[in-house]
Amino acid sequence: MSDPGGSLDIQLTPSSGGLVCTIASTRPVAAASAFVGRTPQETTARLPLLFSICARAQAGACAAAFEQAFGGVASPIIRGRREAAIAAETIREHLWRILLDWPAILDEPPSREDMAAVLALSNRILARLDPAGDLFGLDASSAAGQAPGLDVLLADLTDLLTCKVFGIAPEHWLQLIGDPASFERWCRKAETVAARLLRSLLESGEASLGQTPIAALPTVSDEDLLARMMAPDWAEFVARPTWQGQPRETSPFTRVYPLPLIEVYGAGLLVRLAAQLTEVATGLRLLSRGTAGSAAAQPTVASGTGIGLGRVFAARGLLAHLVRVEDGRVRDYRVLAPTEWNFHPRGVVARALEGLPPSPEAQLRRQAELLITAIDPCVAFTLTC
Amino acid sequence: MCLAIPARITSIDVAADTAKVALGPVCKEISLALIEDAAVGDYVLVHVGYALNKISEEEAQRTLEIIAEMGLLEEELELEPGPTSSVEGTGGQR
Repeated sequence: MSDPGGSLDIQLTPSSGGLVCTIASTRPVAAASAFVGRTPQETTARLPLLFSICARAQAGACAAAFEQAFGGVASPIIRGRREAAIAAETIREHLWRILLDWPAILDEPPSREDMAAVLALSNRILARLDPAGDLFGLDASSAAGQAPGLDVLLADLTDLLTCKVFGIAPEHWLQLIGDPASFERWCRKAETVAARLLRSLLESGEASLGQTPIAALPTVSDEDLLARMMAPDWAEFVARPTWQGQPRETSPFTRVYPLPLIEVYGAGLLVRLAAQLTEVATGLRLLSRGTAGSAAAQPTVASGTGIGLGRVFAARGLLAHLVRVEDGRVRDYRVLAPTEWNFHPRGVVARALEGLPPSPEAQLRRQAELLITAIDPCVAFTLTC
Repeated sequence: MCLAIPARITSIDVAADTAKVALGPVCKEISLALIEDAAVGDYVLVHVGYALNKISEEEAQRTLEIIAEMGLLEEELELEPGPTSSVEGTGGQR
């Protein structure tokens, strides 16, 4: 039973001109077409069941797309709650990498007990944020105001992140990341798997590994993205997206860019891993600010034309859903996910891997795995080199 | 994309904290390290080798129906088993 969510086959082959990377994907990028013919209510109920790994981000993009299509806008409280739920999910996704995959890079056992605690805690937080299970429905009615009991759960999450990830209070960590010297001191002194991994990169001289000329996906207007996802070649676009003819990156790294660390370490491996940690700490900050509507949760522009685009920033980058509704039924449903940008055959991962220095096979494999993990494909991958 | 498949636990190895799960005719061993109180007969969401959480039988059936509607399940079963000649990276074991 391999994964119907698909996988990535990444091959790195030496040639006379250096390494050549090929990436083949079996991700079912057009799977959302199965919602065609369904009602909007059926679609919003089914979509999170199907895309259950980033269920809140997917549901958030879905709800925003339908709301734009119908000309409705969720209340600020609902938008704030949705944003908080997506932040909780994003924290959980990054901790999956940090607690289970990062130790393997250091030949340490995965921190399964800690990840189990994270899963249990995030499930309880999400239940408090969405007690009726309808937060992302088209008639969301979740109770207004602060979710009862959420403060205690967030205090537990803060403690867990302090002990197991940052070694210091997450807010304190966010302050020191702005100063490269303080950050390096943290890497060298803290005794968490995250600090040990970054420290190992500093000591091995691999901190700057994987720099590429791939630019970040720029701010794209709803109109432009909508037109691209409605174009006749939309299936090719959502499978191998480019913008203005160029592959682009959308990731925690482009979201927190520019970190001052880049001036010292370049836009390589160390800064990418630091960006994931930054997303964890800023996600906690967003959750802790309260959920009664934050400034960042802007409403989408309601079009009311039956066509809508919903966008959220998911754990791995920008996630966009396009819906077209006619006569009460979905006629088109298209999803553009960050993995397709970042693992484009000529995208940031391919270029970063091709830029690895010549080295023995075992070292090349280790460095390639590090880069792939740092850019995080969200599905299983095989690496051949 | 980013799917987690519901599967039914058919046996549990308490010492190893693993379980065998069934999805149609296909059987696979997964880790139970991330969840508590799993029992034989429970449905769990499986993502790259780990049980993520328990779900009701009703929710499992609804999810499997949606996955089957999309044609992902049939294709999956036809392809199984498919040993690969390459070595999996760390992400491949997620």
